[in-house]
Amino acid sequence: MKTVAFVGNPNAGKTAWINALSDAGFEVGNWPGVTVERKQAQVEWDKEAITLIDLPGIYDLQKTNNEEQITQDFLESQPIDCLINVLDATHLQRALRLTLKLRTLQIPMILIFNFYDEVLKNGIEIDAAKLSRRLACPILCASAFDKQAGRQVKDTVLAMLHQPFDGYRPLLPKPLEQAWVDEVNALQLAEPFASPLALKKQAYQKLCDRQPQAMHEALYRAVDSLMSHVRQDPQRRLLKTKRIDAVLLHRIWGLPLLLAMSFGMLMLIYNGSAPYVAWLNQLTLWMQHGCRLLLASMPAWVQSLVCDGLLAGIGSVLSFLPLMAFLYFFLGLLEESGYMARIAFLMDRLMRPFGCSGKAFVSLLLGLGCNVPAVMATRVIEEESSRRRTALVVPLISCGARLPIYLLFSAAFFPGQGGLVVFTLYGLSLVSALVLSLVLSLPEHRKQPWMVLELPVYRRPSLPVVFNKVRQEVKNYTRKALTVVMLAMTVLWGLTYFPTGEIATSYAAQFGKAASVIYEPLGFGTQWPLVASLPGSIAAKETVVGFLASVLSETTETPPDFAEESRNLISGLGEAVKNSVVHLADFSQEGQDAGLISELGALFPDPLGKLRAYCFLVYCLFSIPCIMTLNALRQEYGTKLMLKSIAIMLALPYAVSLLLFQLGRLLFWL
Amino acid sequence: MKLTQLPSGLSAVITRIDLPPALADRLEALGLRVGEDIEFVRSAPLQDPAEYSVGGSLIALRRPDAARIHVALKKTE
Repeated sequence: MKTVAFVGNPNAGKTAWINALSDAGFEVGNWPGVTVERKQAQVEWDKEAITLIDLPGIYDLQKTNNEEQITQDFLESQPIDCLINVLDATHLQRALRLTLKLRTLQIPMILIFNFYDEVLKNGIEIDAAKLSRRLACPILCASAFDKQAGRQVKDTVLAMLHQPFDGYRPLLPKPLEQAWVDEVNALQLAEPFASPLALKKQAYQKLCDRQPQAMHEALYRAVDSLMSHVRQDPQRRLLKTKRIDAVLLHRIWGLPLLLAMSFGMLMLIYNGSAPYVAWLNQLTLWMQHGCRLLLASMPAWVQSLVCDGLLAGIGSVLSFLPLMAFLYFFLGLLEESGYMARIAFLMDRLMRPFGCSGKAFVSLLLGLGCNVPAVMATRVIEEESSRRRTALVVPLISCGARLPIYLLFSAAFFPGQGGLVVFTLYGLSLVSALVLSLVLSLPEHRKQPWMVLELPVYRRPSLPVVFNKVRQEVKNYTRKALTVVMLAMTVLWGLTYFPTGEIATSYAAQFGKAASVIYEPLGFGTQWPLVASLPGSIAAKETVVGFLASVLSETTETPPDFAEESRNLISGLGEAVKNSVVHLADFSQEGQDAGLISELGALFPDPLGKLRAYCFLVYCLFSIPCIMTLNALRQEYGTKLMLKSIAIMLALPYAVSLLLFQLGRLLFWL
Repeated sequence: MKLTQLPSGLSAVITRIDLPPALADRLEALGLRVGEDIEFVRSAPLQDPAEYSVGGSLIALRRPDAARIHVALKKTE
């Protein structure tokens, strides 16, 4: 088994290469301990089993951030049989500097001069043959999308693997080169049994330690001398990008354009996926009814466990898949095109006072739709501590699932003023998210105040890369989510089912009655159904509405006709495909149950009723994230961060609601 | 002159970088080092950060950091 690692600058197009060379068969995971993506593929080339590893993009062999740490550690500690250094051929000056440093590791290396189509288009002339001779590495000029180049890379790698390798001679001026040779000889005498490659690497390191300044200069001399084989107008590759940026980063239009694009994306993600989500919900219902028929002879609690517990769990994981797919598609486009870095550029000043990175904006915005993809999207933030902080803040953003609760309560307590209620809640959610971020960032405020951002040149996103990313992420998500979510859903089901089989007398209801006392200072504790609806909201926020409906109003479900339902399911899929395109920009609301609204309104007849209802909404806004969000937090950042989030969201809603109700009551009596 | 004082459209040579080593190393890896030509491209809508073109790359820096990079205007023929 041989190991071949891809290494290169960020945005040099490594992913497209590993994608093409593995026939999109790579696995995406995380490097241990950090949320940096790890891509790996097992391939067989001419009966040779090879592991391809995509190392995170780096600018230098330093350890200033996670990506570089990982790449550096991997290069130093793992046996690598061949390196594939992918270079942006339109920007060789910078890429070659890294190549020279990689050469000193004494690992057989192949260079891919990527984006060669752009080289030809921009009139850049590269004497690859000369460069190859001087660097002693094979060079392939290509763009990742042609098959022939792929074959060439395979052949070159295989040839490399079977060739003896006796190391690279560093490109140094004569006196330094002599010093290096002497050093190697001296080391060889001292350690006659050490591998010659290790000694060559060690000798170079010693020279760097002894004469840092001279070696540093030698590096740039070497780059400059290599660049004499390249003829290029350095400004030309930036021309198109500068022209696009003149619009997208415009002093006045830049921010409005970002906002417009973000909202556009938000709409496309949620509206585009909504019909599929609805169809999958229909599918879940169908499965539940089917199981009920199958299990008709079993005891009632078994039926309920399978249908209301397990299948509901599977259903909720399933219903997130279209959302995930749409999200990763658009995030992929943003990343691959080069606009993502621009978002950070535009938003940096606005987000900085709150201890957030500019890119946190994307997460917070996505959170308005659903917190789960928002947590996932925190990945694009470079700095680990900022990434974690944003993940903790995201659940405070009011997601779409909380909206039905607001609408129901608005209809019951604030008829005609629903818009205002919803608006203030969203405002509160945003303000508290920023404040929490600020508070969390206080202890580390002075640690890393600087930021460097490369604004890469715009490139047309590679669709195979984006689609493969979507496929991998969705697969990963499903595999990890199923077990955890099913387990949690089963526990929650038990709480609402036992001991009587009726929700109104279940443990959840008993808890609500017992816990009412604690919630009395918050205004809404006088009515136990409200309190009892809260634990269930961990399954999904909108269950609050369902719970209140089943406790407060006496609606009976008409048993559906299973055969007809099956037919609807099939025709429904076609409808969903159609609707996802037709209703991309449509936000419609479903009708509400008038009986439930009047029942609910009767809960708080006193003059403080509105305040009590509003406090309940505030509590719902901030209370523990739903299971899918918790699971996302755990998947991305580990159990500790998830527990931290739970702790915050146990304390925060209580504190805010308490403050609000007591202040409101005080004002009322004055 | 400080990099932040560089008017847009004019090219200058970097003469000195007074930044913490971690940041200076990072900038160097991106191609921003003493002796290179640098050009101010634009500020973000809220004036900060600022975008510079150096060594064929576009790099954004926050103003306090950019103020610690010194440049000299190139003489125009």
